[in-house]
Formats: sequence, structure tokens, C-alpha cells
Amino acid sequence: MVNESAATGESPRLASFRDPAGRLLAVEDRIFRVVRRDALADLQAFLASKTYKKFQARGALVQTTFLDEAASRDLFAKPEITRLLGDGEDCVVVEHERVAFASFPYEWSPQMLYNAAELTLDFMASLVTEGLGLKDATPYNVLFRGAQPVFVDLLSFERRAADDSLWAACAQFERLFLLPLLVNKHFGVALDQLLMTRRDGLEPEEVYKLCGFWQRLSPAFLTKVSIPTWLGRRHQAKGAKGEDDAGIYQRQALANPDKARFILESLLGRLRRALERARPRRAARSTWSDYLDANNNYTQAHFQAKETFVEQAMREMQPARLLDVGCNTGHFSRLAARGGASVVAIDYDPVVVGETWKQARQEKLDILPLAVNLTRPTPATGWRNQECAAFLERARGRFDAVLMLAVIHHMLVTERVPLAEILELAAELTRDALIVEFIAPDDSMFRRLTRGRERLHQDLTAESFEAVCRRHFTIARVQHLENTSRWLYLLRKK
Amino acid sequence: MRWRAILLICLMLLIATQAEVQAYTDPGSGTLIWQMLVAASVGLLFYLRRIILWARGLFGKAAAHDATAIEDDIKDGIKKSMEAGIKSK
Repeated sequence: MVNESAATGESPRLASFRDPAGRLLAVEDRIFRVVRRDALADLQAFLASKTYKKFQARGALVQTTFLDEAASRDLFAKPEITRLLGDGEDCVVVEHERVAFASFPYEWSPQMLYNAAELTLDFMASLVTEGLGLKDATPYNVLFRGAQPVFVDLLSFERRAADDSLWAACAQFERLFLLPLLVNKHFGVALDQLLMTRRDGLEPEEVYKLCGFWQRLSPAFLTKVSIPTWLGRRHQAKGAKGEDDAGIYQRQALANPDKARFILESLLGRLRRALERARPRRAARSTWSDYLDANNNYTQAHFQAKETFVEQAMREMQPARLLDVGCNTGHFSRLAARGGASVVAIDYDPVVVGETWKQARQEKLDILPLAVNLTRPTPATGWRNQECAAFLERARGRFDAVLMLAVIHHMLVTERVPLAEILELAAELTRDALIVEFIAPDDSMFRRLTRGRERLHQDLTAESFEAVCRRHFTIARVQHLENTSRWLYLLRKK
Repeated sequence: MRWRAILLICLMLLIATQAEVQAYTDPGSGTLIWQMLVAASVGLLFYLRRIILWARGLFGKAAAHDATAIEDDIKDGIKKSMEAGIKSK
């Protein structure tokens, strides 16, 4: 199992260590996978398969090229590399296309996790027809290119014995895809709460404790939660009494390969049906999902003016990469993406992130929506907090433009982050442009947030805002929305 | 008196098997055992299906062909209802 991550700290850097078959190496902006020669046969079997061609054509698999002798030697000539990996005699190096923005399952909306699960099952279903299979089934094998999932762990593929009727990674699939989706759907627990601190997902026993008596017997939970829990307890008790409990891990060979295939395909069918039952609700609602329709404080004219302002800024700046902070249902992200930008859209509400993702998929736009709260962004996780990079680490200096529309007053009031801090962070995130909507304290929406504590923000005016902006930016353009306390700014980094 | 003792022992056994041993737990064993049990019963289904096909084969090639056609129809039916299920959600 490999955790794909963006570079943290110095380069070159080993970005994975769990898989004995190989290790991921990040050198500056390039991603290499160092594969041990004894694991090469599995990889080559996969690269020769129809599954590889099919999924490559679909764009669902990361591009991979083998390094030629010369390039490989050059790589291992570097002392930093030999220090990490030895002389490279017993390995072969492949290079992967770098996915623009790495993201992790605890930042995805449930729909995205579901999509990654579908991709994993699609792969497995195709692989078993060719005598191949997946060694592991974890969402960390999947990254998103815009709204499209792409499988990145080339060492997950292995050859399977024809007489093997079990999929060892099935339990992992359930722990990391099925059970989190089930708990999210039935108990409303967000994916970040379930997956941020748990590398290997949820155990059936944990979900069992959450369920009521009748829920445990319901179809969604019976075979994936309750029965494994009961069987696990019995097995535990046997082990405690000293009876043989490791026998279940002996590989059982069947005499008939057709039978093994039949059993495997039946398992995959059952997993797919279970996944269907765990599908996120289509019409999920949250505090923020109807925001745009409710048109809080914007008349038609105002909204038009705002759209025009942003469109003009897009045409002027032509950003290749854009970050939309507080994207809500992604209206302005779509605007930017249609203009050719590669967008990362963040919002702290996973429901609207899911909406944004669905629309991006439908319209085939390059938008990667993530459930991230910029005032408390995703931290670095994993061993030594170095396996999965923090959100800010991945985002700093990676965007040509940042949008902060109708969001900074939330950071100011609800999160009590000082204005200077907000703008300083924005200056770190963007390489050039910042499009920000300033809302003054006398605006009704602002007042709704302050809930009687207006005194804290009495010094905030358009002038004081502009003064703080000028520390890091020059004001290229301002537009005051008539009859409102709202201003739109196009700022350029100094 | 004897019945009470038996009842008490049963209750204790019930509690004993429900006890959760916290140290050196073996999570994942439950899922694996369940997969193995289901695999065994699906394996029986595999033979059952073959027997049915063989039996149908006894009634002539056309009948055997029908049997596979029926099987395919069933599979298509399942696929279609799954897709319909997906679309309706």
C-alpha cells in the first residue's frame, strides 16, 4: 500500500515505504517509482494486459514510462538518491506523470469516495478475467485530475493463482470505502472525521457499536457489519481459549479454476451491490446548499455585476491555475474553468463540495472540489506527519489567481482571523491575482454573523481594508456594487 | 436446583463469548471468515448450476443452448435492474 503525497520538506524524498515491491521517489517536480526486480514480473504482466490498455485509454490510469539505462544511471549518480536507495542495482525505475494537485480521501466529498470505489471495483472486475488482481484496495491509490479519478499505484497489480477464490483486499475495501460511506450516509459523520486519523479505515466492530438493534439486522449492515462482528468475536474467543486461530490465513487452493473465477465474480457482484446501497443521497441538503438560489442580499443586477467583474478579471489574467475559496456550489469555479483555468475549489461544507463535483463531472470541467476549511486546513498526516502533505503545503504558490468571493467576512467574524492574516495567506497562495469581495460591517449578512458583537468590527471600512491590501498587493480595479456595502477588488501581487 | 445451575452456566458462556478482548485483537478476521463461508456456499451454487446445465444437456443440444440463453437473460435482467436502480436514485 502506497500513500501518494505531494512533496514536503527537502527533495529528493522517499514518499512511500509500506510496499516491499517498490518505493515512490519525489525529486523536485518529478515522481519516480523504484521497483525491485523481483516485483517486476507482476508489473510487466499488468502492462501487457488488456485492462491496462482499456483503462489507459479511458484516462483512468496514471501515465507511466520506464526510464532507459542512461537516465536511470543519471538518477542514481546523485549522492542524495544513493543515500536513500543504495546503488539501484536490484531495481528498475519508472516515471509517472505528476497529477497536478494531490488530494486525500478525508478531503473528498462522499460522492468522490464513491467514485473512487467504483473505479477500484471496475479495475478488479476487469483484472480477474485476465488472471490478475489488486493487492490492496484503498482510496490512497486514487488521485483526482480535476473531477476525474485516476489510479496511481502501479504496484497494486499482481498476478493471481488460477485456483485462488478469495480476494484478500476485500476487507480493506470494506474498511476504507464501504463502511465510511455507510456511516456517512446513515449517521451523518463527515469523511474527515472518519478518515483523517485512521489510515486503514473503519472496522466492522466500530460501526456495530453505532448501530441500533434493528439497524444491525438491516440489509445494508447485516453482511458488512453485524455478521463479521459476530464471527470476529467467536474467532477471538477461540483464540483466547488457545485453539488454532491462524488457520484462516492459510491460502486455500481450489481444484477447479472455473469455480474459483465464479466465486470471485460473485464476490465482486456482491460488493458492487453493497456499494450501491451505500451510495450518498442524491438530494442531500445542508445550510449552504440553497445559498445561491436564496440570493441573499444580491439583486439580479448585483449578481450580474459580480459575474461580469469576475469574467473580466478572468479574461484579463487568463489564469492557468485558480483556487476558489468558499466555492459553495461552484458557480464561479465553473466560470473560471470554462475560461480554460484548472480550478481547485474549496469549501468547508461537504454537501456543496459534492454538488460542485457532480456539476463539474457533468460539464466535463477541470475543477477539483475539496472539503477544506481555509481557517483550519487539512494538516500533514501519516508517519512523522510526512506521508500526506498539509493542504497549505500543496497549495502555496501554486495558483495564478485566487478567488475569495463573499467569504472573508466569515473568516473575520466567525473564525476571528485578523484581516492582515487573511490577506497575507492569500498572498502566499497566489502567484499573481487575488479577486476578493469585501463586505462592510453594515451589510445585513455581516450583521447576521456578528450577532450583537458589532463593536469588534467597527473599524472595518473599505478604506481600512484597502490599506491592509496594499501591504502585499496593488489594487488594479475596484467596483462598488451600487446601493450595497459590497466592493469587488482585483488585486495584483506586488 | 440443577436447572438453575445449568441456566447460570449458559448465561456465563453467553457472556464469555461476548467479551471483547482488547489486547492483541484480530480485526479483519470476521470479514475474512465471512468471505470464506460465502465462498464455500457460492462454490456449491457453481456445481448446482453445472448440474442443471448438464441435465438440460441430456434433453438435447437445443435445450442446453436455451439454458445458457436463459442464464444470460437472467444476468442481463440483473444488470438492467441494477442500472435502473442507479438511474432512479
